[in-house]
Amino acid sequence: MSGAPRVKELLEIIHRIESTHLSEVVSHRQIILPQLGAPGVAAHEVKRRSSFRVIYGPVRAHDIPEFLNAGMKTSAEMREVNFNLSDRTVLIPVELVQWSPYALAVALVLFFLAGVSRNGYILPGWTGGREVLIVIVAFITGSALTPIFLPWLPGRALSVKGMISGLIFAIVLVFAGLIPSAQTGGQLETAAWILLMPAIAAFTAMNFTGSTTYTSLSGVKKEMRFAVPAQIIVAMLGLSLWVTARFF
Amino acid sequence: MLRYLENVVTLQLDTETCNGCGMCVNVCPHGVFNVQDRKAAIVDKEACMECGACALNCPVNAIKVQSGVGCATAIIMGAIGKKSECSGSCGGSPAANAANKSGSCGATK
Repeated sequence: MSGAPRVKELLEIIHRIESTHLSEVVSHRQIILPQLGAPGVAAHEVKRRSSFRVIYGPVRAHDIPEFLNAGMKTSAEMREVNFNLSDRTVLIPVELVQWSPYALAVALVLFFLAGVSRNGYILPGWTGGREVLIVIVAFITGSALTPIFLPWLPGRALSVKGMISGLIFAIVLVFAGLIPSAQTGGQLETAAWILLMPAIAAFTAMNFTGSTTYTSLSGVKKEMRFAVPAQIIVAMLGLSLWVTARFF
Repeated sequence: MLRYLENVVTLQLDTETCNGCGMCVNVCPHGVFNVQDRKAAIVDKEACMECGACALNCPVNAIKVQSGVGCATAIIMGAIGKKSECSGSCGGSPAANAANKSGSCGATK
């Protein structure tokens, strides 16, 4: 529990006030801090140790003029953090950069495994390329499309939202003919991707929890308790079906 | 308005101790608090993201919350003993990290 303030971490702003000799630079004893800095500041400790009174400004810089005009008072709207489309979209590159090495590793493994058949091994051409493409679609579904469509996807847990978008795209790819569905081999491959794509998208979407402005630590822990085992089981099942499909 | 899982938030307010200063209202990015009759009240508990700003800035220590950045990546990295870019160590604000030196945040409870 974080009841008592852990003073050591909160001294940063006090050190800054001291090292810049702020009290000699200005005659007043007020310091305006951005509101979103508050999880790392204890205003009453700053006051006690530096004599500066902390005033929390608005969340967004463009509200500063209005904040000043109102006598350094924030309105409820100024204090509210949103998570609208543009807020979500700017975070997508971070997700893509962070997870693309893993996605590419998975794609490469599937590329080479795609050469396995009952007649032995041949280096896969288009068949392997197709598997790579499907992995990339699943990855983008979880880390880019799920954040974009976040408010409109059903469920509250991000892994559930990711799973649903993964499932939608798996069905789309089956109908588009990218995932083969003919004969036993195709049916196994379809079943495999119907499991694998939601698992991949659920996992990457779940990791968007670190970027959102509304998910709590307790919630993420609860989500992970059911989502991670589910993702592992579904992925293992999907992978077994996928490997089996090679032999038909 | 996006809402996360229900009935998980650890936020607690001790109304007895509260002096009605309104600092929690000022720092909360989700409008969780309101001050009525010189006492703070939790008016939207489910909106709490457990950032810990209210607890840290409460001059009379009337607020308790298990705070930290709710980040699956950090919890996974913590569980396998690696650090994540998402936070200094595991799923936490500097405050939460200090409270969890072992780095085993994924395994708590």
